[in-house]
Amino acid sequence: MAEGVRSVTGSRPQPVGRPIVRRRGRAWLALTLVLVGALAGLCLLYLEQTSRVVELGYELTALQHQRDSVALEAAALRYELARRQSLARIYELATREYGMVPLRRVEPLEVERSPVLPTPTPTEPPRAPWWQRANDALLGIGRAQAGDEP
Amino acid sequence: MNGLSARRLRVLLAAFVLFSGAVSYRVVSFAVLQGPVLAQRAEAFRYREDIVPAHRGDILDARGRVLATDIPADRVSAIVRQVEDPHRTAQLLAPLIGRSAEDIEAALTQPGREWVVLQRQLDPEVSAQIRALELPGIVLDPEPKRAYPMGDFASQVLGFVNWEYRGAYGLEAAYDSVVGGIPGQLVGERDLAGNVIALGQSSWNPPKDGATLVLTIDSAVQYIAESVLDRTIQEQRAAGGTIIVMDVRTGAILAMANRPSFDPNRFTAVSDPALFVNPSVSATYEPGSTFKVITMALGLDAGVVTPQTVVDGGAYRELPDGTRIYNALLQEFGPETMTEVLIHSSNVGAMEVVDRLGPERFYDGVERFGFGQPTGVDLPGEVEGIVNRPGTAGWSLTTFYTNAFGQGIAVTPLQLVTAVSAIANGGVLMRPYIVQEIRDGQRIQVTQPTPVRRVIREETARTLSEMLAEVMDSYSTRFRIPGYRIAAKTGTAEIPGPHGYERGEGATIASVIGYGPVENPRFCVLVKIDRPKGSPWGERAAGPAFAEVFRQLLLLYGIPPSQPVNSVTGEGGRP
Repeated sequence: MAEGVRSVTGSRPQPVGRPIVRRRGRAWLALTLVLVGALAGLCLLYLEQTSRVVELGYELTALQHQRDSVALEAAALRYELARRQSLARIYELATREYGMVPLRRVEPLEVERSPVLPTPTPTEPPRAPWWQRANDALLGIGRAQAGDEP
Repeated sequence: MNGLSARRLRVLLAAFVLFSGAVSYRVVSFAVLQGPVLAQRAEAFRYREDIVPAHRGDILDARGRVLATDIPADRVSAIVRQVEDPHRTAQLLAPLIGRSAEDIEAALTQPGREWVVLQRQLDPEVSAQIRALELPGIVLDPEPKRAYPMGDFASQVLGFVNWEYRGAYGLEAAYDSVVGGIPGQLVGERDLAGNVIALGQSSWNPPKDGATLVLTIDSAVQYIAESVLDRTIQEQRAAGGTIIVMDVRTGAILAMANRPSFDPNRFTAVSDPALFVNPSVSATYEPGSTFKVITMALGLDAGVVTPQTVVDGGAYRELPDGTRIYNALLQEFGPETMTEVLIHSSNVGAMEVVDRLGPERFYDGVERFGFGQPTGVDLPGEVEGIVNRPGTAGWSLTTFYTNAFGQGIAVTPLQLVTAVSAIANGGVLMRPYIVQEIRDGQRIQVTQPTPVRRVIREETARTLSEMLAEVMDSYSTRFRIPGYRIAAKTGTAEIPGPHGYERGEGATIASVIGYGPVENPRFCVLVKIDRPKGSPWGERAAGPAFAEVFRQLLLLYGIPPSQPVNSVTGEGGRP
């Protein structure tokens, strides 16, 4: 108490211990704000991710439905193809639209098989001189031969 | 505070207590009394289980043509409480879904129903029309539909699938577990619209699609068989018929045509379910003289007769009890060789053969050929036929002798084809089969030909083939296959009724069975015409059809003629 009186009467009064409390308070506040901010950020991130995943989930479902409908469409086309390949339909088309007639006469022909020709003996292709081969290798030149595959 | 205020306060308190009590009661009721039930319902709503149908495998012919496949379709249902105007809804839907407006309105106004299925397996065009109407409470769900692109083509072989999407007849039924696949299961947490929540808990057991069946049926051969059968039935004004073509080397069935038949796409329109059954394996008949082929094979194999053995071909044989069994038309042939017995189709000659064989050797042989037992073909509903052995109730000396020429014995068309194919291939009975491959993803299961047993010696088979080729030559005025040597035998069987054999017009089964080319047999063909009215005889009613099928078959497979011929004429015109 006496010290307090003295300080009032003397120089400008200085509050004992308050700056430390204020500093600590600000630090706590800052920490809290940071934590809250971080938590909010995490929450937003979580929400963003969740909504994105849900969105992707729906997108996936839609794609699955699309895939199913495409598969069904392919099945319908396969069916239509098979229906059009029906022999009864082909017969009707051939006779009515294209004027074809059923087979009435078959003449079997005897064909003599030609004699088997001897297999030609493979001949050694002419070999290029060494200097030409070296030159070709250096310049990357390839040379085709008559017997090579096309 | 005056008295009025106190009274108001008491009323307010009472109202508050009453309200609190009501709320408390509901809370206790929901949370405690009905808690488990409601929790279960909520759980069921959130975690709904969906059965994901498996894709049913296709059925293809030997050339890869699609005979059965799945196509998209829809099921139209109504959520009853959401239907705003049942009368208008019914009026609009009736012409589209093929039900009467009254019927639909009655379904939509059923008390206590949450939803009703109005129609199934709608075509995509109809679905689009219903969708365009935007009727409240009317929903469309996709569901697969089985379709048979070729209509009634081989319908009794293929069968069909029922409303539960399970195979009901034919191959669809026999191979249901293979073709049908295994449905999958999706259990997942769902939103209000019923969509699976991506982050929710879910379990996914995917469906296993059915395998694809590849048949031995060659659609080109089947088409020939069906076309020829249709034409013959029309010409002969017959009740029906069957044509079977088998590869004698393997037992593979190349064609199995039956009439009358049905369109499996419209199986609900069939009034007589007997049409669904495949008569080639499920119906028996008395084969008549075509069975003399078997009798002769057994006689030759046992050595009791040779092709040159001569018997007295009288008009009848008299049994010890005085019963007389006659040749057809009471014909008397005089002395005849065994080849002539077949050419004349002499009942007396056939009886002579079984007489020399004796009952034991004859019936042992008949059973060895597979009669009186299922062939083991991979088709459902196969029956075993009737073979009465000595000692059984149905046997007598008369049946013993009539069995020699195919009366008093019942066989399926497939049994006869399988047995005669054994003679064609040199004496080995093969198990007939109709599914060539099962394609299950990367795994392909190929059916291998299965020999059952040797039934006669190879030499016997060769001898009989020569005899039957002569028999075929004897039919040349009625039907022939120029340029090829074919072994064949006709048959005209009487049809047993409750009062003995039927008499009059349309009272026979006319048939021809044969194989060829004799030098290297590939195909065995049976043509069976039921109750022909044009001619009762096998030679006339079924013979031309037999020749036509064989001619087309030999052309189709590019088998060159073995005999000099100027031209092979396609007498029948269209296939």
